[in-house]
Amino acid sequence: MASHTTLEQLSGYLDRELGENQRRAVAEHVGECAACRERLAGLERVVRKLKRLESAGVPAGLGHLVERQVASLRPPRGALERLGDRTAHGPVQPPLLGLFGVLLALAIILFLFSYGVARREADHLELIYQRSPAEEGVADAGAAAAAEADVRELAGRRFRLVGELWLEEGVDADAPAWRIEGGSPGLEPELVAEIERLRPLGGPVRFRFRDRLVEIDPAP
Amino acid sequence: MTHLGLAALESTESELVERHRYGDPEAFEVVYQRFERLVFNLALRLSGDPEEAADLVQEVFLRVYKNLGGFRGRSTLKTWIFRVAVNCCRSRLGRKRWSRARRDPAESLEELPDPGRGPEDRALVRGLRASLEEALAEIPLPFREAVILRDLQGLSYREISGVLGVRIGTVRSRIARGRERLRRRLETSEWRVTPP
Repeated sequence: MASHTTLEQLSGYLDRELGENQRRAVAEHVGECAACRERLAGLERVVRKLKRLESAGVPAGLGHLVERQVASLRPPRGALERLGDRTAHGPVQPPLLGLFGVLLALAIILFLFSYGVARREADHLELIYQRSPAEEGVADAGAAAAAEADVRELAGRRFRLVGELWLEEGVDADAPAWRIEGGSPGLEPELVAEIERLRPLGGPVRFRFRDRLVEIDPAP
Repeated sequence: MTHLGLAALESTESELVERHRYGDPEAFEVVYQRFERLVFNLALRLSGDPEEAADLVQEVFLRVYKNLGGFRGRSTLKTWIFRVAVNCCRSRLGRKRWSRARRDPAESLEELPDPGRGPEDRALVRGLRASLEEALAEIPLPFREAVILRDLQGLSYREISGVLGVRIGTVRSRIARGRERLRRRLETSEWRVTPP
């Protein structure tokens, strides 16, 4: 190196921040040039003095000041977060919290199940105890009665099972009626024929025959 | 700040940033504890005033808290926080025109313990230090920043380049010129003392 080294080169050399070629050139020149050697020594003295400046201790309480200011920036904690803090550090330990969660989930499942069962039972009971269209006063009696399992059409008539008695549609179950028991002599042939037609019902029947109410058990 | 466990303190930078992003308050506490002293000393040497340095620390870490979630790891956390600190100091310098120590340098040395020396040595060293702090406060801010980051904080030229936002060649130049100014200032004002 013919000319003196620059200040930046000396400072970079001191910090080992020069490339290999440049570092070698500076080292060679400094070895030969007293002036550059003295400048380098001057920089070294400054750096040594700077490094002797000890790190200052942080004033007491500074951390709390920072913490307070930072806390004012945080969003307010919700109830679940506060509960999370308490359960994480308080008397309720995580395993117990997990057990509580499982029990809660089971309770919810049981509630939903029983609710569903109750609904189904209610529907079934409603089906069983559904009133006849005549009692309900429903206008479309024919359609509603046909949907019932205990309604039958026979010999051009509709019969509804009330208890053990097949009741012809429109016939009062409690009104006085001619009671005919099996083998009654002197029955009109037309009545006998009607009884034969109603035998498939398989049980006692109350029906209208001409202008009379007749109740008979056509089963043998 | 609360006491943190070893596991918390050993978290990596990316872990801390991620945890902070998800609202973990302990993550910021770890960051604060890691960099509190470094930032305070940087602010102290740049400002020359412990009270101003304490104010600066609060300002710096408030900014760190607000922006930590956006840290993308393109530099180290240290470089990023130092950049925040330098920018805060520059802003205050613009408002308050700091170029010199605001208090008697000897008073500012109360926080600098030197238990290994006798009273005469301590007085002698105190005298030298006062000169050094005075000289440091008198050099232009760009040079002062570079010298402090290199010789007091131990950053590499590349890291200083990231903190100051200038090229490495500029960093080298500022460090060199800052040291030269200090050398001239000190060598014209001090007695060279050789210990017995």
